[in-house]
Amino acid sequence: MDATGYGSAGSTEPAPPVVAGPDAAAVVAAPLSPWATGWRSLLLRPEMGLPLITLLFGVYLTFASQYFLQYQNILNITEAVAVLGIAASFATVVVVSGGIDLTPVTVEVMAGIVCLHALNAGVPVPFVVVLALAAAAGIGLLNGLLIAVGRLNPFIVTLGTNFLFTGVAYVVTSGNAQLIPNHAFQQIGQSRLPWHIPTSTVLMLGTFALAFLLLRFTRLGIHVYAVGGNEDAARLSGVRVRSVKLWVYALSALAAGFAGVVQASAGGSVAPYAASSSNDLLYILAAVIIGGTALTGGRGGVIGTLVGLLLLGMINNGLALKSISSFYQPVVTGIILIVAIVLDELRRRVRQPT
Amino acid sequence: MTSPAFVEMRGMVKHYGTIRAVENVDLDIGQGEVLAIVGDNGAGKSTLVKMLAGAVHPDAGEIKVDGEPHRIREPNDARRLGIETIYQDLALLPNLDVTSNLFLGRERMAEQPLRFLNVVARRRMRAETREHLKELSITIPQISGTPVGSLSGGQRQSVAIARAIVWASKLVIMDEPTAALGVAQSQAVLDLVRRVRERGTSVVIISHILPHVLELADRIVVMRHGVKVADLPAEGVTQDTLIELIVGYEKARRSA
Repeated sequence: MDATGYGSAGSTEPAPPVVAGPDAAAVVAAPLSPWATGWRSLLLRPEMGLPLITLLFGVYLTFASQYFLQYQNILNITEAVAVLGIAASFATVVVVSGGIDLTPVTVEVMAGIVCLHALNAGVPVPFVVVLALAAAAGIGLLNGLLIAVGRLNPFIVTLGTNFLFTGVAYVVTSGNAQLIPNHAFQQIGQSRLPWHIPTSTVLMLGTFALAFLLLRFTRLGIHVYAVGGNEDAARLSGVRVRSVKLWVYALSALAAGFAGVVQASAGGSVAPYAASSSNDLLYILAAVIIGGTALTGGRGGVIGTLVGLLLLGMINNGLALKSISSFYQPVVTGIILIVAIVLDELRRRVRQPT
Repeated sequence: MTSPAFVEMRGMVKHYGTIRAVENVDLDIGQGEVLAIVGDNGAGKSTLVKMLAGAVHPDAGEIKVDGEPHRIREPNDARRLGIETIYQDLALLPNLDVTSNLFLGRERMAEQPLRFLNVVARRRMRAETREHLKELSITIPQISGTPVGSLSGGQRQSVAIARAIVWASKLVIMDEPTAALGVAQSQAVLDLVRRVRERGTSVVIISHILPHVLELADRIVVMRHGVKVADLPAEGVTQDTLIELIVGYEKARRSA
């Protein structure tokens, strides 16, 4: 058993080998299609298209505005997407597992409210963070239990808990934004590291690194892809589907709770209406999809989400640098989202010519 | 039966609403024997073996393995008893590579302290995969990084079979293993079945392809409408006899 308590089941020792004759080699049929191996696949690979678009857009902005490529501006872009990114990293893991989490922004607000009350009660800052994360994980476990054990549709469950906890946030704050005047707490989201690097940027990159390592190197990560690929086949192969689902929703909420801590700290306040009126949830999902993670599950990863997020940040930044109304931002984001989906669909049709 | 039964199923029942998929069936499986189960579509063959594989929960019945009663509630329970299943619809994960599929649910874990963090030993799994495939004379160049969904049908089937054979210490259940394959590939699969038996592992094979059944099986069980209608040694059985048993003796006579 390991730290995650996510162990294997069954015997793990193979049976004695079977000695086969050379004729068994006939099991092998036609070689791989050229699409799977040739150099042409490079351009059609999901992990190549998006960075290319982002890079081209960056080159354009570099020529369009003398300010874009400045060190401080680049840092500003990363800082602007940090809170979204922390939540989007593990929201991606949920989507890879074939589910969806509509609660990240609500969880952010709830975590912020916990911070507010804990700080007012005089709890030391490190424990405040722990309490906020615990509250967030609680919401995630509720989602996970309803989805995994109750076998309910994740879209509907998280839509429900999203409404539920948005309402709770309004009730406990009486609908008002509340200031968090704690200097030590504000350091989490407002401080700068050496070379003026924002702490929130580093926290975002750290969260992405954790999600990446989880998907890439752990058993839970392999099983997340398995459940997203084909839940029944995964179950028949000995994957503990329920346990996997519980983990992904709990981790997603934990990341969202952490995003909430950073947000409350950076803004120095918490506002219940952030949960119901901001577009943050849609931007999180847009970053995941633009990043090449399939809503059907089993395919994608967090690197794509990070690049997708930076692209969204660059769009916002570019519009500001060119003094174009920020009202255009959703327009551009929508176009990019649709282009990303069309490209993804084209890729799949090319690979499976049926 | 040529050897003592190591799996004994008694009074197995499974109903789906008003449909009696399996009605009070007894089944013994001998050590190292190849048992074929034949029958028309909907005769209850798959349901019967799925109860042994842990994929279907019986309404009634008792399963003994090596003389001990066992409740097989999920696939992992069957696995722990050394029983592996190759499902009709493959049950591979199309989006995972060969190595991940082969080790799914039984990943090799890294050494401490990384094991504590749930980290798998990818290199070790790749090496073992290569070894297993070599033992089985299965040639698949991309065992890592390429999803099995992009392999050919024959390659996918050989991965599915390899996964079952590698882990099955007692029994391999094959549900229509050759249904989707060409002639040469089918022969290779049949060849693997023989070699598995030589290792001492029992095989239960469900197939519509009667020549394959007659070629391989030591014993044949015929199911019709959820009931076991025949249980006979394969020696001397003809295809005509089997067809009569499968469709029902009377009916076959009348139409003949």
